[in-house]
Amino acid sequence: MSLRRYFRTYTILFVMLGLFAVMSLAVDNFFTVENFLTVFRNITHTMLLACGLTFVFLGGGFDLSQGATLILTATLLISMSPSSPLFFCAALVLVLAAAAAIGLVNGYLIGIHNLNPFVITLGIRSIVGGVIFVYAAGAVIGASVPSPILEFVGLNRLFGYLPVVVLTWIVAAAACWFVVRHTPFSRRIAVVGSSPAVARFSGLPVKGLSMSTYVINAFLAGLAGVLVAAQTSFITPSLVWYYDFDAITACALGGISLSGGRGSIVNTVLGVLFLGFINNSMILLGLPYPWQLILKGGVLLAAIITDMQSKRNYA
Amino acid sequence: MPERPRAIQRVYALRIVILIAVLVATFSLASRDFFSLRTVEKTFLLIPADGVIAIGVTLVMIIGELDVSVGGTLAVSGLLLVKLLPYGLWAAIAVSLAAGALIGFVNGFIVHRLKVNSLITTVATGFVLSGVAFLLSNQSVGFTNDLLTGFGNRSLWVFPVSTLFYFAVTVLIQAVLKRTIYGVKLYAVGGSRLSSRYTGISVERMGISVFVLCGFCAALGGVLYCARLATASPTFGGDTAIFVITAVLLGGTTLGGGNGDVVRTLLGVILLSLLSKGFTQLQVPAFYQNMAIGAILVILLFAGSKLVNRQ
Repeated sequence: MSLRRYFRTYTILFVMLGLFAVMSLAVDNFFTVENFLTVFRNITHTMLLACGLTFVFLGGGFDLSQGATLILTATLLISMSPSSPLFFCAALVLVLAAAAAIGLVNGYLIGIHNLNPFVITLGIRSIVGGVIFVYAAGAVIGASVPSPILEFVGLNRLFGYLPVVVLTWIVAAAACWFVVRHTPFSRRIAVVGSSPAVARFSGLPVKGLSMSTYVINAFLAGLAGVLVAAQTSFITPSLVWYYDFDAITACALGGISLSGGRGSIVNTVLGVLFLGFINNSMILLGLPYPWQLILKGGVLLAAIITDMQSKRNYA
Repeated sequence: MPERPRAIQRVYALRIVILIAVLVATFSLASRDFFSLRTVEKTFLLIPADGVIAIGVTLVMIIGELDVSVGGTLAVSGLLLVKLLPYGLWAAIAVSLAAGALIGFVNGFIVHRLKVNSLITTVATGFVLSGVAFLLSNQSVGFTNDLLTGFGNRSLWVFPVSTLFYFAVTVLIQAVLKRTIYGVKLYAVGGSRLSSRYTGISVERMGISVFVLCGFCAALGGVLYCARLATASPTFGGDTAIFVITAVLLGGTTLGGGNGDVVRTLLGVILLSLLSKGFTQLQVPAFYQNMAIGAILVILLFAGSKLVNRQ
């Protein structure tokens, strides 16, 4: 890899190091283990959603139903409040299966029937949102009995330091990285994403591959829901529009192309970390909420515009 | 052999009208007070703001892009209107609309000059706009202006004045789309950028102009929204983008570009408003509405693809 290309791929890393330098000078308790762990905990669900979205983008698709899937699994798990280990395992399998089933429906309609991913996942989002509301009867869902296992996952730290949720996303992201970087499976998905026609003439199972990206994505969204359930004991069953956009924002910051065929977990992880540290810095600096929104939008705009310009110059 | 599919396709082309008729019939059977002029008025009263915004979004979708920053534009223009009202109603409206057009220009410039994906661009500008809205005011602000609130709430027979205004705008834009060179160019660019460029159409100029129109419409929607509620708030417009895009898609404008018009969008908006009014009247919990909308969206697209494939 040439130096120039290396720099281009990891621009966001250098920007982030610059942010670290400035913030360390500006705020005393920024560059501390405790603050970094706080950031790592806060980005948990965005990380899992963004990793899933990377697969979908790689296959040339799109997904707006992630946030709904997340809230569905979180609501289900909290309402069951599994107390015994066996019950917990059963509940975990059940909610993850429910999440994967949503992905299967998305994948069936988009992959097999070749329908527009934006419209389908928008529709599925509404339907899943309706299911959540019906299940919760519009009320806030809280755990009836405290679940020691969920509390362990959500609040405990291994070896006194590493929160379990952080370990979970590290493992999940590493697994995704391995699949995307080192398996022929992801190469095939990338071919489907960049040109379905080429993929078909190469004899690839285009429909199945496209479908699989949605299942992987929904599974990861379900896992994110499990971790959200572990971190909070109450959930308001409303669809938050920005739940979906955080992951898309992070992918865009990392330089993942929305037009398909490209994607790297390293870039996604960097995008999510950058978003997390920006949010954290703004809070530490005591920036008022309106300025936080403006700065977040401004940073995102700057990132996508420079990314686009550098790609054009490079080409 | 081609007889049967043709008939089905003709039915499919009228799907939204049929759905609206079916819904009206169902609601009327289910609730005795539904079938009344009052219901017509109440249903129509809900649509102008979202409808006008949907016109702008339709134009953007015809050219093959998306705009999710319309909710932010709505909030900003509404707050500008209320803040500037002491300087005169017309000045306040003019500034709000100009602000909307400016926002649209910025979106269009980034998307078409700098060639950035429109969804990501408008997500980002949406963040900025909602920040600006909170800077203008961190809570909802009311106002009193009889002319404005009268325009937002008064009716001619069963037609609210603002709804008549929305119908007029729809007819105007429909005429622009179908009867002017601008409209022809718009469909051409949406159909194929490359061949439009070879034909000598300035794709960039068309693209930017469409975003300016969309920003303008979103601001107009903000003014209409505030006129009805006599309030502006930075939290207005939170779910506008998704609602409006759903309405446009239901109407039958597609995401690929080169296809669709604003009369179809009008039908989509009426359908959504009817669903919400009907469910409220029947005291069905509002969350079933989400499911119904999602299901209609998925089923229509599925049915449509089967019919197109058969041809």
